[in-house]
Amino acid sequence: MPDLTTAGPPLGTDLLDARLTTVLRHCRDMAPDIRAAGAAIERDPDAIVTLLDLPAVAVLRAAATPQRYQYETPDLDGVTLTGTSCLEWTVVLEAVSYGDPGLVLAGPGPSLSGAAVAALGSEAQCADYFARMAGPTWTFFALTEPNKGSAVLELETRLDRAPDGDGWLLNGAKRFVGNGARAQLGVVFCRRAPGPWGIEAVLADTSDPGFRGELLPTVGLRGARLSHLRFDGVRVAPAQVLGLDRPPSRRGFHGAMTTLLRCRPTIAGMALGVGEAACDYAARQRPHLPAGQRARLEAMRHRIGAVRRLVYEVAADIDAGVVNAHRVGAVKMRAGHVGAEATMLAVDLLGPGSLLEHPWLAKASRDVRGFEYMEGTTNVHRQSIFQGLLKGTFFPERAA
Amino acid sequence: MADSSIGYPASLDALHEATAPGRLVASAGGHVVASSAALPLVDGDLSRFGAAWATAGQDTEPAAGQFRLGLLRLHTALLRDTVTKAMATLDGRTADGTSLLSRQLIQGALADAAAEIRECEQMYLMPGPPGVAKDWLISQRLIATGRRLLDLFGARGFLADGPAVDLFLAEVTSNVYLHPGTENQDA
Ligand SMILES: Cc1cc2nc3c(=O)[nH]c(=O)nc-3n(C[C@H](O)[C@H](O)[C@H](O)COP(=O)(O)OP(=O)(O)OC[C@H]3O[C@@H](n4cnc5c(N)ncnc54)[C@H](O)[C@@H]3O)c2cc1C
Repeated sequence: MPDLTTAGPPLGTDLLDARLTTVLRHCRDMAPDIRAAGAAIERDPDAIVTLLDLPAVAVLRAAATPQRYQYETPDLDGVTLTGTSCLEWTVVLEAVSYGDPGLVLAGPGPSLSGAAVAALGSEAQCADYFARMAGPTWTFFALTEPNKGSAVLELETRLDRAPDGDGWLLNGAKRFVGNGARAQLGVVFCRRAPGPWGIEAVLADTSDPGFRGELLPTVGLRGARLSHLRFDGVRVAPAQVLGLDRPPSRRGFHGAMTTLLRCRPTIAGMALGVGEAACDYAARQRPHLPAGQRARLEAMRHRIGAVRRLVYEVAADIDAGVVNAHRVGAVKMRAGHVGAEATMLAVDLLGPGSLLEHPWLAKASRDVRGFEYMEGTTNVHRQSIFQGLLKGTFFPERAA
Repeated sequence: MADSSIGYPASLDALHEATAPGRLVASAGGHVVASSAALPLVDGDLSRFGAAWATAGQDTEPAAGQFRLGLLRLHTALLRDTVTKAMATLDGRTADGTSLLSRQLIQGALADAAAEIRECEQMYLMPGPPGVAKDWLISQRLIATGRRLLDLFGARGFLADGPAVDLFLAEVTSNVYLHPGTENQDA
């Protein structure tokens, strides 16, 4: 199998322990197959159903499934995944995205909605939800609305008491939801009452009456199968409301924020994986770059390495229960930027017509832009970083 | 003069026609990019965006300064349109009861983009020998401005039925026709 990398261990991975270094290497070794799968998904996003035997699909699913619910535990050179560590998930998603980020987004498994269920769900809800992942089952996490994106607190999808007194009815719409129209189930955030604590997270089955979904065409990341969802009186039973036994301040909105915080490092990792792959691609295609051009490439690798260290740091902090939202948002923002710049540099270094003659690179340069929007846009994170500065909590106390 | 309001592929065809009536203009590297109507050779990657590419043949004309200038004009016209569309889109988005257009971060980004577009227009209008390096420099700045503008659309800036497509095609034609081919020289 051809080796896709041209360099040694990626810069910034020195922070990983032996276990995660093994995970990284194992997933990186799958890159050629993943890249081929990514090209197939780019041509036809539904081609994922023919690719379910790829080892990477099982690894992605396990990385997002707590070990006690994993029905298969892939062996990664002697390491098994815990499915509960943010750093572990970040390393897996970064390495698989080095092959192709489309496979990550197209694949079956719990993904974001699993993180929400794990954060909020009762024992019975978790057991039911993860049991369905034996499927293969595709899932979605529906937060963004046609009129409300970044302003998540203002979401308008309603959860009204059913007139017959039997549970609730879901009414409203969601937009830009990954896999929404193709999934079997997912989590919908909706409003039962005014204010942040009036937000609930409910489990919804896409086969429920009143649930409609349509696909949206995108310029990149076609595997994400972004969707527009409509709910016209979808019935929601009490057992579908996540964490109904908790106080309102510890469920719906709290769950959305917990999930997004946990997933921001993983999105950052994906952007870095694509950026690193673009650098390696350029180096492989142009092994004899002049010194000045090679220096540009090396400078880019150093930037990626620096952001990677920060990503690993915030992911490890999350695992340790130390959550600084300002820093988490900052690394997601910077990873998106540096990933995009790396693809643009590769396009430049490969010369005129490179966007025509290197379809993988053209795809990567379109795909990588999607990370700007996932888990919060640049402006949202800028404002959060500023709040961190005001509070004096953005910079860690320890000097680097 | 190419008209960006009719969509990039059609504008590009108009530029080909204005530069070399009845023929298509080829890049120095030997590529031709046009709409998929003008160049019906199906290419999987670009056809989704209404465009196509081919290797230059005998019936093509090499790109001269006029064509390159036309591409830059087309790109700046597209960016002007995108600024207008971004303003309308952001005006329709609200947070905390006010339109996103009233946010200073947004206003600053739009102002920067507008000023950058004007500067680029002056760069290519300035008298003096047109230069391959200068064209590339301008187009690189236009690409960066376009990407920042797209981000202002939120995820709409990632949809294939929105402004992202034309801006991506402008990146492609820049890469094909305006890249100076100096990647073998030291930076
Ligand atoms: C590939 C992809 C996958 C996605 N997957 C999912 C998913 O699975 N589930 C889901 O729910 N959503 C998903 N999204 C949607 C994503 O979460 C939203 O796009 C994002 O939250 C931004 O919302 P918006 O697109 O409505 O932009 P808007 O919120 O309308 O923002 C438009 C612009 O205004 C800026 N802005 C917004 N508010 C402010 C402010 N207060 N001050 C200054 N500037 C501001 C933004 O930075 C942006 O530049 C996905 C998007 C993409 C592209």
